[in-house]
Amino acid sequence: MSKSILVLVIFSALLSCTNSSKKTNSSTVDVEPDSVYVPTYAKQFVIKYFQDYKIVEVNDPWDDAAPKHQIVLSSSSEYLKKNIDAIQVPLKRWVAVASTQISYADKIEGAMDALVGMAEPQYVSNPTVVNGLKTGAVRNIGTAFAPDLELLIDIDPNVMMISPFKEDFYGPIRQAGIKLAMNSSYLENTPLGRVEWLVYVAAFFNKEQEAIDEVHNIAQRYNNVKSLTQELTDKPTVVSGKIYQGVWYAAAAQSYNANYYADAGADYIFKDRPGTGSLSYDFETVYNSGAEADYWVLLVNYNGNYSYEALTDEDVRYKDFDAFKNRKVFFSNTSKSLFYEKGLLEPDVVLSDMVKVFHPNLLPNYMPRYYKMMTKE
Amino acid sequence: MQAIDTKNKKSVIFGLLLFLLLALFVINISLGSVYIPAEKVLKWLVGMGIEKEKWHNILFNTRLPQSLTAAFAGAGLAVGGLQMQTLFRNPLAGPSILGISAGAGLGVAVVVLLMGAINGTALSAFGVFGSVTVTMAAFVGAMVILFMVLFLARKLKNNAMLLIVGIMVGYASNALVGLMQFFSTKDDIQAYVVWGLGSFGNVSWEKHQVFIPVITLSLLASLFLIKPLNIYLLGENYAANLGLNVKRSRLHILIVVGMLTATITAFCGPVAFLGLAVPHMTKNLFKTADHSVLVPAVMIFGAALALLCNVIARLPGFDGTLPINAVTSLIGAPIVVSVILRRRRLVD
Repeated sequence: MSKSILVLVIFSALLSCTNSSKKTNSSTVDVEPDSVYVPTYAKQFVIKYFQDYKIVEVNDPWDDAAPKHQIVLSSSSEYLKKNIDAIQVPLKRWVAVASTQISYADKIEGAMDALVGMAEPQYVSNPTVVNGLKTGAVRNIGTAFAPDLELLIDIDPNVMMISPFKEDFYGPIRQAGIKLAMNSSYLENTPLGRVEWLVYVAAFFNKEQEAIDEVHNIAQRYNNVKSLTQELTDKPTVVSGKIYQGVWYAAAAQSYNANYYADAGADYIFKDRPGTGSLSYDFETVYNSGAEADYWVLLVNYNGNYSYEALTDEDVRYKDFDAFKNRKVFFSNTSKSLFYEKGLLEPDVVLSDMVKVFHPNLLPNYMPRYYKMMTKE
Repeated sequence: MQAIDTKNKKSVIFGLLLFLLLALFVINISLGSVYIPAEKVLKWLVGMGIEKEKWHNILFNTRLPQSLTAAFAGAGLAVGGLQMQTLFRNPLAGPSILGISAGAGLGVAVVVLLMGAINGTALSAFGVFGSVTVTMAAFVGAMVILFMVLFLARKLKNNAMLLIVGIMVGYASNALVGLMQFFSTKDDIQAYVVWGLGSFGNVSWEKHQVFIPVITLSLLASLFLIKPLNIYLLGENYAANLGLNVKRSRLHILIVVGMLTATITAFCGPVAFLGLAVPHMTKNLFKTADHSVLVPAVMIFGAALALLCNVIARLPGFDGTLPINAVTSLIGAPIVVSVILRRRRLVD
């Protein structure tokens, strides 16, 4: 009896603790910010600036109505003393879990020097990470969703940048006192939206202005290329994706990739199928709509030179597409082109590659970098 | 007089099942996410051609191979399940009981998960996925486990021991798969999960050149096992007394079921439930334990049920396909429960 009362007391004490910590959080939020950075292209985050600190708000990845995830960043030692949940910036030690986070950090002065841990480093080609792993300056913390907690505690980073996962794998890490920041850039469905997450990462290093300028430059270059195609009336049709275990995954109308097709002046066959992710269709649906498409675009990860023969090896039915017959397949081999790592912050180049395919006469002397026509038989 | 009546009745049921099989086959060819008028499909089926080349391609390259896969896989799994249930005298046995499909899963995991983790390139995005490499990996994995089971079968006298060994091998394979999943990326895990959901849509004409002959051969071999299976019904000791070489015929049964399971799992993924459910339904329908009736009957019934599941998985008006395992289990589970309940009522 007395034991159970003791347990109850401890339990309620614990509960009241968590409650009080929430209260202190919300009290900081009630003040009006001095200024707010609302991104032009990205939709998933805003930054609010206050006297001694800034609050980065990130949308809940799966529920727009849910409360936003808030991270408090501060450079003031007094403020940090009073608010133990706040993150000290600029970061001196941080941990990344995705290669895209490295792509952003690489553009921000001082960010790569502060990297001390990396999850799944085998997928990262950045030389700072590769060398850091050799010298021990960067530690391999294991997989992204089940990192080595003891190692993390030992590294003791200012923050660990995470990708959104539906299941909260990070409870124990949070419990261990490691502060987490969610980078959900991949949920942005436009190329420039993803680029603008550079400002989010820069906020951790007090380099927002430089990042905003960089985003502005990239956007200008991107829009210049885009403006070449928008007046055109003759737009070639394009089909995307391929079969994967019986299901054809194609880009939905508002998805990241479909935005590229539209901006490059192509007429995407599924432009009327709403969504920001991918469509999963069976073969005959795509064949019925896309058999006569002028072009066929693919993102593949292939060891070697991807070819028409490799395509037929996967599925003979691909031969029935006009784009296959007329040798109008173009692709990016992500293992070689680093489309996801480097292309992320060079959307103008990716777009030019596509314009070169769809409207070759607009960019006569251009050499493509990420996407190219399939030439190998 | 009554014997003739029941015999007649059985022929009628056989006839109905065959008709059902044929009808479901035609329905499978006729329905799909792209609308093609039924009369055109029927004309095409009897060799009168079809005006649109696109329609011909859809019918010939997509729907026909998929329907054949479903029919052959359904027949093979059902007859495999029947043999396992008889051999182990266990109504819960199915073709997956020997751990062979778990072995196939292990083979696929090695290719999809392990190679991804070692190479540093996520194989899930690879072209090879869904094609020959994965099929081969699954087949090799399944054969390794099959040989292990056969080796043990020669050592072990008792069927129950063999059953336990099969289940343990399955657990061990699943544990290894879990370990590999832990160290793999989200994409690779997704790829593996998708494989595990099963599909009749991955067997192209090229693969059918292997798939159909192997399954046909194994189905024919099953017909030669009718006599030992019937004797097994009496129990192992009786069977031995009746002059049956228990060990040898057990080996034959294991080889046939092993080949069926290994091949079907390699080409379609681990298709659940058909192998367990169809023998129960067939026994209920024919009210007999005679394998000279049951073996051909479960083949037809299994093929028909697989085709039914396949058509439900591709319901018209729905552009994608549902995973075949979701459909087989959702249909199979209530039917088996009702069959068992009804049998209980007869007993009580």
